[in-house]
Amino acid sequence: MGPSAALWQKPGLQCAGVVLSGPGQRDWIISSQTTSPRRRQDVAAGLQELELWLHDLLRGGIAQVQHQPAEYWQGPAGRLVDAQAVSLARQVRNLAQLPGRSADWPERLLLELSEIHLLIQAYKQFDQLEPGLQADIHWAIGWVPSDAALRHQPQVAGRWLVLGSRESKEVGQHLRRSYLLEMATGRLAQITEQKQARTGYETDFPVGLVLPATLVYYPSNAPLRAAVMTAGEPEPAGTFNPAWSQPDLRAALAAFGAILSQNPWQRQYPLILREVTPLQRQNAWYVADQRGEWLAIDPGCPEPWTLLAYSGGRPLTLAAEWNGELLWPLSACVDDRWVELRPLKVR
Amino acid sequence: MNSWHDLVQKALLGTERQPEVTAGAEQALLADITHQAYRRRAGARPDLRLGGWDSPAPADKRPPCTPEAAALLGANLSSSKTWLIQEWLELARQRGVRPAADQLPELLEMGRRSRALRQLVFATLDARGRWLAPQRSEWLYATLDVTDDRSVQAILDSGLAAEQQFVVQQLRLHDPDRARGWIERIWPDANSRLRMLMLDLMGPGLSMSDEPFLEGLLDEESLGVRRRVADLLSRLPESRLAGRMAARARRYLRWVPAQGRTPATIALQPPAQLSESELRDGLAEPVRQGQLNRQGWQLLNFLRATPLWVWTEHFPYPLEEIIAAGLASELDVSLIRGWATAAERQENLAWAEALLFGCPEIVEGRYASASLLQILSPAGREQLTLFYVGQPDDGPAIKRYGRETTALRECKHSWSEPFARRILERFGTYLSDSQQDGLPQLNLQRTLRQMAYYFPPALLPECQQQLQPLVAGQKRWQGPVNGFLRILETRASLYDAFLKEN
Repeated sequence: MGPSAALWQKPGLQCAGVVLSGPGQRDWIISSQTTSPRRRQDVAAGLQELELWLHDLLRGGIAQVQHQPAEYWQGPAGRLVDAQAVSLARQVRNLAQLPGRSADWPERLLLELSEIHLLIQAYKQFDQLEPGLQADIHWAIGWVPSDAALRHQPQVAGRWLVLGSRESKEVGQHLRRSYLLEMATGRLAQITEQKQARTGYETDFPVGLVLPATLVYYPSNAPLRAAVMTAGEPEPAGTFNPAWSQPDLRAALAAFGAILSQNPWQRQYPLILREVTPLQRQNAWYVADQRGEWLAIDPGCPEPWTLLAYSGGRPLTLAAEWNGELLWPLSACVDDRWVELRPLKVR
Repeated sequence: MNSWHDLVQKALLGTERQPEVTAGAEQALLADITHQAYRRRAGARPDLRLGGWDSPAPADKRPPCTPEAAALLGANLSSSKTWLIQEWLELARQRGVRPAADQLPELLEMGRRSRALRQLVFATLDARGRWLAPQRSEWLYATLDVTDDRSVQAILDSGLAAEQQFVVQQLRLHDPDRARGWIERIWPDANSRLRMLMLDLMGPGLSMSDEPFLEGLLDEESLGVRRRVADLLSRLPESRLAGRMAARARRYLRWVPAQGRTPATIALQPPAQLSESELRDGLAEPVRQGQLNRQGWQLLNFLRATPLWVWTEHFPYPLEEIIAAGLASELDVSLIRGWATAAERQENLAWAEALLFGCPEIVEGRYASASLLQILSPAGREQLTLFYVGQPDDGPAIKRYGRETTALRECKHSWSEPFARRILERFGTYLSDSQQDGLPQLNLQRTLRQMAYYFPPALLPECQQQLQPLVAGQKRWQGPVNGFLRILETRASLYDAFLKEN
């Protein structure tokens, strides 16, 4: 077992692999039984079963899964839930949504399977891996460190610019990923929160303002996920250092590639794209850089009319979440001020 | 190493359908897939295939609105306060400032949804708004360039009825004759709904140059069309239809001179049956309803379409005497309402003033012709309302259902400060006596609310000072007065926001 393995504990089942920001909201993390050998055995057994299932899937061919009933996917997922590998269980369960959904569903399914395969293989050699990578494996499985463990991590104080948030609904939970950038160092942070039924989200992240705050990064081979420990009143951001943005789309994708090489299970990553122009072609949206190269905006994202209006057909600096395939715009820098991109309400 | 495409094919078929079935084939395939998948994800390159740029939005000479004004609009864009957005747009247009860029999509969308706002949004759009409009098909209306026939044609060809209507309406404001030209062009292919819409649009900018087209339309089969056309033609006292109506007026109406204590009256000798030419002119057998009998309806329909000049010519008496005879007649309601409608349609100020000042009762009750106030100038409307309100010592300040309340509700223009002060003072007097009055005051409360939209926001402090102490102990008026003050406060902050230094 690696030196940092003691950091890890199992989260409660209701968390389903979700990390909450702020010390107060993570009370549900059970802080006893630190990765007991029993639990590790359970996971190892769950992963072994998953591997056999994967082999069966590929032996018969993925073309046949279009007609499989829901139980086909529930089986391996259920075993993972028993082992409290909740994130991985969710990922397996979500595979059921893919077949037949789009023309390229076989490719999408294979992309997911590749992540799972890599996780299974990595877990086999868990003890030989770097502590950072071990932490990323645990995260991908669904084990999240507790507050107590986080307190031993270095605190990073700074002026954190709020780049924006993206809300999503997963397995009945409202999640919000917010992205911050430290103004002096350009360091990025991703804060994931779960919406509470009564109180909503714990932290307010006003786009374009700076939070004087202390963050703690979760252990990782490529630290990005973080929790806000203390935060002051939001204040005006001041001038944005262009060095923190990617000069063009190629460079941005290369940066994401570098992150993947360190943490292959990093699914979303914030990109700050300098001098890009949004545009629309046949009801699909893109951004183009100064070289004339393009990336597509997620069709699931509300049509970015505000972004188009801000740009007026001229380049601007854009912050967006990248998932390896599509962009989800978060905010834009207009006249040296970061602004929110409100969705257009169409009634 | 297999290509991604080959691997996808292999995975679709399954390892057991491969030419050579080997042990560990699944594991090997998974390893290859993972390798390629990560190469694709980590080594992704941006696309080059789209090519071509859009030309950027041209610069706009107008300065942007103040950040305060933009914030105020932003805070209310998703509210249902259409009146506030309307006033915002009007102020922006008057002051020659442009909206904030990020609010343009919402404004364009609002203009699409709301007929009341469409014209104002269109007038307030800056160069960037016009650049945005063609990029979303729902914003077609905002792509209009009234000086360019191709732009007009494009919307008339592919737009919805509401968009076609908007184009013709804008064109009518800009160049009435060209607009009529377009209506003539689309008339043959238009369905009955669109035809009715187009006739409605001919109202603004109507002139004698429209008369030949409209006279021709009286040969249409549809009674609905003929009626609407006749309404339009009756607004032109020199039209051929007006001439025919005048001839009928001379034939059917007779002056009955005063005899002793009986005043002069006007009597009707209607035809037993409507002639062909009368039917062509949109006159029809009346549908009986309400207080008027068949004769009364016939007379009302007839009078509404008759040019007013015929009366002083046919009955050689001053206007005031003719109106007095009308009031004394058996068919007084038809006569007064008919004249009031004719005066409104023909925008005949002499008649309007004679009716409104000479017989104030026409704005209320059975004559119900308050809309006639709309043809007066704002100053004329205020003067008339003050005339109805009376002097401070004229007894009760304002009646709940009085003509002054009715007139106040027709004052839908920005009030002048002296007028607003007088009304405020009368309201104050009313509120201080009304403590003992137990009757419902809903009508007056509604009137107060409506006043808030036209009241000068600069008088807010005066209103607060005068009204708040009066209603302090009065449950019934506290709500309405506070409602009035709230709207006025919002409007005052709107005016302030526009005045801030940029």
